[in-house]
Amino acid sequence: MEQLRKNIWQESCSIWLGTEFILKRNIDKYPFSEKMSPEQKNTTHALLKEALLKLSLLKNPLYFSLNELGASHRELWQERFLSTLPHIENDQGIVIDDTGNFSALIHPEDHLHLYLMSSSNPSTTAWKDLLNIENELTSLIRFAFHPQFGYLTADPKMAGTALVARGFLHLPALIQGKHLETLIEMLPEDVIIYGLGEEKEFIGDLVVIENRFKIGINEETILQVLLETIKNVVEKEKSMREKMKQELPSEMVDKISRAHGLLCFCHQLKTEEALKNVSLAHLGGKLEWIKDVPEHFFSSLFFQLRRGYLLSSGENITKLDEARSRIIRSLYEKSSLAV
Amino acid sequence: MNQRPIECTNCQKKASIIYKEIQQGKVETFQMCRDCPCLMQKLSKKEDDTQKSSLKCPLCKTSYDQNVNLGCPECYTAFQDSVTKRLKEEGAIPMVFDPSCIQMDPILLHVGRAPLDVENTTPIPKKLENLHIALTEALASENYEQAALLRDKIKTLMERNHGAA
Repeated sequence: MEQLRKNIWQESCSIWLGTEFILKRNIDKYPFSEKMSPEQKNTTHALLKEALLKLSLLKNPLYFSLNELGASHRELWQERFLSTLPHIENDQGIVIDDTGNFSALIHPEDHLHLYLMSSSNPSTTAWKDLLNIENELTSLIRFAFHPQFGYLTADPKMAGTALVARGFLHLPALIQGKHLETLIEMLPEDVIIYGLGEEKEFIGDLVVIENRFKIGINEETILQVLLETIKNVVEKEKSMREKMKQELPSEMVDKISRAHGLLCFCHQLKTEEALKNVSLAHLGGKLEWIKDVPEHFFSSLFFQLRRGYLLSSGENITKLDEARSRIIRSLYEKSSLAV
Repeated sequence: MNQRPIECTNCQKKASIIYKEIQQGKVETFQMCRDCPCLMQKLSKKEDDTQKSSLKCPLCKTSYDQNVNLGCPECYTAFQDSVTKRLKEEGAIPMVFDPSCIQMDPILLHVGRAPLDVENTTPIPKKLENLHIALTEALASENYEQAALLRDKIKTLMERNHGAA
């Protein structure tokens, strides 16, 4: 699973961290996963596995059964693709390749979900890459399609393009400056916005913007609207940062200074607390309130501080909070407050 | 002491019907007037629900239920109208494709990609007709980005149609 530990974050933009495309497909003439008999599950599983491993566009594809995958590797997969793996049942599996940013999930609620994560933006190239993979698969497998409803999925709300396109944005100035509500109001109706925590919880000030409609709209429009929205939000975050830099609001200075202190001297940090403070300190670096913060590291850290990554690095499960704070302390060792 | 006449729960007219609804063992009672629109709505919903619950997919035998996933691709054909209604009710279709705005045969809700063989076998005039409807709707709702894309799609199809002729 070394592929999933690769640092795919190129960090060309410290606000727009990455984009992910998910395509959902079902094999024609077979019931959806939940309604399948064990024999049908075995047949379709074998069919999909064989086809995926045959794809020339994947670099050294590898298959893992979810049954055999250890807890830390399951977590690592979830952290990489920022998605939830289904509850373990028989006949579910994943395929990954050497790039570390592609994965296929066999037999969640649909027969197949294809994932492609990209950190280089704009991400139209990543979408084309995923489309090429799907096209190659189509030459081997016939997917369920209906002229009125498009590509068919178990959940009818996902049918049509059966495409989920999501952008991951780091918006500390808008969130900590309490401007998120205003931002949500100005977003077009074609997108939804959420965080990675519970409802309305934006852990590490990370915001996900996703296409609302999967049907009644084509793939190009989905992409165009999403990318346009992301660009607008990035501009809003930039201008909010600029405003903060000029006005030096004492509440923000206090928050960032405290976060910096905590990161420099911590010995035990839980994931959520770590991400919250790393996010603030990263903003501090961008506002030049903290000196000598590594230029681009938030998106890498966002991944490397999490449970699955630390466990797969061989860290002791009982000492993860210590390991996390050790990494952070070493990164902030040379930094100092400038306000 | 004069007793106040019982009023309709919803519109305050004189009530003449007692409507009881039993859900999960809980009884809810409504006093309603004879012409109450809420009564009509409740009765038609009941009828609708009964019809829906009797719908079964001929292939996987799944009964239609608004709140659960479908059973197989054939369910989409078996429950075509109910699925379209569900998508509309749950706000899963953009406004330009709101089926209530288009009183005609089931419109093609899907305007995205299709497998190559399907793309090549769906009759072009039918596709063009649906795209023109979508274009009119997009323009009416001032969704010019969608309209531009639909126009491009129409242009490509017309060129292909012309080429085939």
